[in-house]
Amino acid sequence: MARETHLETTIGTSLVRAVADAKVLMVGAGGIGCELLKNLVMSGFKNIEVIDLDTIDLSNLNRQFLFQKQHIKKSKAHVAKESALAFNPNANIISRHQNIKEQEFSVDWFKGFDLVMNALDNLDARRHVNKMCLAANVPLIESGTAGYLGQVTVIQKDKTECFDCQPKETPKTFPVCTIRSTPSTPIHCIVWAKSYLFGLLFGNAEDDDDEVLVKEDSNDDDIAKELAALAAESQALKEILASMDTEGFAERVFNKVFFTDIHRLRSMEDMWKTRKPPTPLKYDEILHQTEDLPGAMDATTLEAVTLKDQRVWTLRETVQVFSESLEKLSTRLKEMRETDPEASVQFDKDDAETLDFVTATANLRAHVYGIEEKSRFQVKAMAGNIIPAIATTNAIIAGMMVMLAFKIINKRLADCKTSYLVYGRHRPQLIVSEPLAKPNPKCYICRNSYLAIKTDTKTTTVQDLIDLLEGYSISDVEIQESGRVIYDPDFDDNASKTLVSLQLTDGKFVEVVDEDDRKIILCLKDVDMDSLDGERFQIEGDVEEALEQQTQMKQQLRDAEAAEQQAAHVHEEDPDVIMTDDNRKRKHDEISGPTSGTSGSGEEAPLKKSSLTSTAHPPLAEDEVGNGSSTEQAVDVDEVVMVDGESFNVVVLD
Amino acid sequence: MDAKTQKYDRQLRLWGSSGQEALESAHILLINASAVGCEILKNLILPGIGQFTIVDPGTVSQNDIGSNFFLDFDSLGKQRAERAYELLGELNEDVKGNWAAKDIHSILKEDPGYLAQFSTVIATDITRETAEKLAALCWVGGQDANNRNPAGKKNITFVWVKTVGLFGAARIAVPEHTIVETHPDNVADLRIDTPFPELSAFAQSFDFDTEDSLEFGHIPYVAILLNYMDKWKQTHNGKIPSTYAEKNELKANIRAGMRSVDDENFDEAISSVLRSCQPTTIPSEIKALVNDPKCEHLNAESENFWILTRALRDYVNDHTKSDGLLPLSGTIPDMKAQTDSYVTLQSIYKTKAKQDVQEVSKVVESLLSSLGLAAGSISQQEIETFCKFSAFLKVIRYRSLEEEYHQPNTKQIDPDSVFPYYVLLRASDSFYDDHGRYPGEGENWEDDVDQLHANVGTLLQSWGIANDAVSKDLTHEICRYGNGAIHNIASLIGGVVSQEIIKLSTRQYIPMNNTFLFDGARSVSAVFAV
Repeated sequence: MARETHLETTIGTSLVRAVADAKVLMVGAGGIGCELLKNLVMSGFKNIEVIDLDTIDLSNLNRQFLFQKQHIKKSKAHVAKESALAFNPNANIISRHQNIKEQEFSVDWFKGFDLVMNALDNLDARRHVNKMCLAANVPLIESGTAGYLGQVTVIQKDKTECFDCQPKETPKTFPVCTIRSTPSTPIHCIVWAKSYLFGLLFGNAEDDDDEVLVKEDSNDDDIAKELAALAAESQALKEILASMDTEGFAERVFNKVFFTDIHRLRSMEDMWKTRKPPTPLKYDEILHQTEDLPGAMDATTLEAVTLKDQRVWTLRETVQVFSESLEKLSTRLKEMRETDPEASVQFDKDDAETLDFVTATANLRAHVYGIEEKSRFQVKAMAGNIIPAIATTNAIIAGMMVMLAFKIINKRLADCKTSYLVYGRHRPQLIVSEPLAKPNPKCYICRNSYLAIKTDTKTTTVQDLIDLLEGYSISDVEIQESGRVIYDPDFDDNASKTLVSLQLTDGKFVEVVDEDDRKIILCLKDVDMDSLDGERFQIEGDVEEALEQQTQMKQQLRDAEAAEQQAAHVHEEDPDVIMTDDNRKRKHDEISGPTSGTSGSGEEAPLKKSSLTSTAHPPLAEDEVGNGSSTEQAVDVDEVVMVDGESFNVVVLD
Repeated sequence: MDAKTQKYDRQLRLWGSSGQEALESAHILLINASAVGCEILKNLILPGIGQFTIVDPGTVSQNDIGSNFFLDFDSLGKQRAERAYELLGELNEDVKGNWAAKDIHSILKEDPGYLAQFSTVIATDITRETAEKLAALCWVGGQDANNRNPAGKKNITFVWVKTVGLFGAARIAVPEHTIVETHPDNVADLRIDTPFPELSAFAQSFDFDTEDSLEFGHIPYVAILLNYMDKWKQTHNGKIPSTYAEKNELKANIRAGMRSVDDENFDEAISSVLRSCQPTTIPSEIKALVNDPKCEHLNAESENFWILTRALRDYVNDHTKSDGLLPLSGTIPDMKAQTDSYVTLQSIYKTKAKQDVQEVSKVVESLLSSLGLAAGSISQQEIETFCKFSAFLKVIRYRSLEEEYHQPNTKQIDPDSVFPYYVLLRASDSFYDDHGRYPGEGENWEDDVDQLHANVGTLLQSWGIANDAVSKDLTHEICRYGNGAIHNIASLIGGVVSQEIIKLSTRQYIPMNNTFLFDGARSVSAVFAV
């Protein structure tokens, strides 16, 4: 063609060439991923690798436009590749239906890319890719959306903040006794139904009590006794399980958990001194009642007003849904166990039968305790950590990601910004951008130095490693891996053991901290002794440089801490300065509490609460007058739904 | 749960079934199946608008295939309207599509009232002259000025979208857009300063001298606040704290009543003191709304919104019913409390809210009957929603394109960020008027720089703005782009525009007013009402 293409006139021929040569990795082929893959292919990217372990679900189709009905249950990565190629067969796309955390995706593998782009929906994978990109020193574009809100940023080792530089909210937990004996809110009942009862009935005997239940401090005698009684209760229910899939099973389970157990709890008078005691329910009494119980309206008139999904069921309906869903799930489990005796049914918010069961049992429990019952639509959001997701937001964020990709490939990191999609009554903007933040000197992830180290883990011992480090004057070391101590000066039991015997194998990150608190992460590469030219180790990268970098970082940290103390001193004199958990004085525009976000079964959830969304309503000056209710918004910014999946146990929708 | 609910589950959580219903009644016209046009439609078809129509006289070119994902190699040389209709239609079987391989001007010549069937008209790749004509038609409900039918007049949203190189712009124009569900962060309205009798009685039902520490630790913070506020009023001539010092004093009083650091309910009360000391009043925006001429001059064609707003005014003015306050929202936040006292408190607010709705309903009914409209033609559900969000109602009256061209609001634009882009895009339109093509579209783009910069100067002069407001580098840049579109910008701008069209179509959330500008090279963007 005589004339340049629009792409060439717009971004320049040299950048078009660099883009065509670049190798990019896309992690996630969901909502943002579909948009991103389309944009990459249409922007001249020719070498794209896309990985996603998920399969396609009906509820994806309102935005994940590379997928259609006939693709349901197929691999997202593979279908996304095929659909994108249909429109642009010139691109070279490799698709993988795998988990990015698998061992084969080593630091070396990450080093093979010029750029990594995250289009993920959970904290765990985000953290993993963050760490791998830091170790491989590959730039990472991170993204997230929730409803009309979204965020995109760039992470580059030593140049910018990394994903873990700001603390993330941890998943909300509940005390066991609240869930098992004294629930007071709908979410307590839902957690009980989903994490306790469901697991007990349809899970494996091995995977006991869920992680969301925290054992209380059992110094208290009463609590200890109650915990013992609860254990006995669970045992009794397990015995009923033996009769699964036989006549009357539903009734037996029902009467056990909603009558016998409640009856026992009720008899513990101390517990109900200041609480309303629960009221036991009997299966046949409800079903044989000619009239439905109070609070419940005529189902047919209600049906006319709202969908069954969006209104609260009557008590009798709830019991019917309970027995129907229990029966179907039991049959399903029985069929599954014919081939795999260890099989279990997992709760899945998009699996209608499991959701029916959890809705029914949560509401029955709520009824027993006089707690507000919820519609299935609401239970789905609360139990499934659902984050609203639409095509528009994903399209904007994916578009921003490719703009950043152009800049990174053009070696213009300085031109990159963090951008937020914002929404608020007093905020006319739609997109707000700010410069990339510098690394947090306290970060325990990116303030480390990473070095790749080759050795034969079958023959190399921990002592060999210590000797190697001594050679670099790294002495009095403490060695850890994933939080477990391998060696320290007072614990040398492992010194003579081989690395492999301590599961220090290929791809593992070995943390070494010396007496000066310098921290080096060694990324292990397992090789045959023969390939090492007679050496025991081969280190890629400059150890001296890494040590020097660590010394500098420690100095920066000390400076930062000194500055903080100064700030804390100011704080004492000025009660209006808002301090955060870590006692770090925040910028004025970040006033709204902790950065949120952990992992999510929710959709393309963002990485942290935008400092900007949180001030959707700027903090009011002390005497600024407004309407009573609207000023509350200025304060209650923590409720902003800018969260990241699983931590967000409750999405309360009005 | 039916398949449709499941497919739309993630968006229903954003706009609910009422929003979905509104979306499904939308019929959207796209003029020209450009890259950005198709991206907008993609994002509207996926969540399930009712219908779309594509009007485009062109055939698919090599450049189209390079920038438009929905035109593939097989489409080369075929009708753009038809191919885009086919490939976009595959995205959602529940959406009906139509196409016409014609020029919009010739369609309008044959059928002057053609636009009246659409709820939104999106125009891309059109000249300023065409935009003005279409915008004017949409402004009067799509009826031709010569044979206008006033009864059939309705709002049509006009959206004009441009992408040039790494720039993108969108302009929305509609005479009036009313919103009830603006989705405020928090609708709780606790009335701590002016409790209604049932609320006062609730607060008094708690025994603050109880020996039981568990009971004490579970007094809902609303009751604590009411209790201490009441004591305060008794010693301050019935007034609530108004100065910072007074509010701090009230905080200190509450803190003094705490028995242990575990009394989180007291902490909740203390942290709510500041907002509770804001007198409950009608927000100024709502005061202006109830005094709007549209409330005064109701007729049988008035939108429900204005009948409801008038009812709100009459209700608020009747102090015996409303105490001069808006209807109560009836929602309360989570708080530390025993289940039964929480439920009681919740029902106290809900009952009062219901009573308020009933009073408003009575006014609505009498208004309907005086307007000769059927009783119940505004549903109870609609009245309830209106009352619940009455402190957050919003009306946007956009400026028309005509106003923008004849009385430009250039002071609205931040001079440091996007003003130069606005000037350049306007100057490019002038350039087109002079040359019949956009800057940079000729053989040698550099030849156009001086001419375009002269157009920039003329515009700035007419607005009385200094000539250096736009750097020549930017003029250079836009000429280099040669009016070309790249996919990524089309996709990004398409996302922004479709998002605003969803807000407008669902009548939920507040859409932007009225122009959005974006520069991908510098990551700069802004919204302003020009």
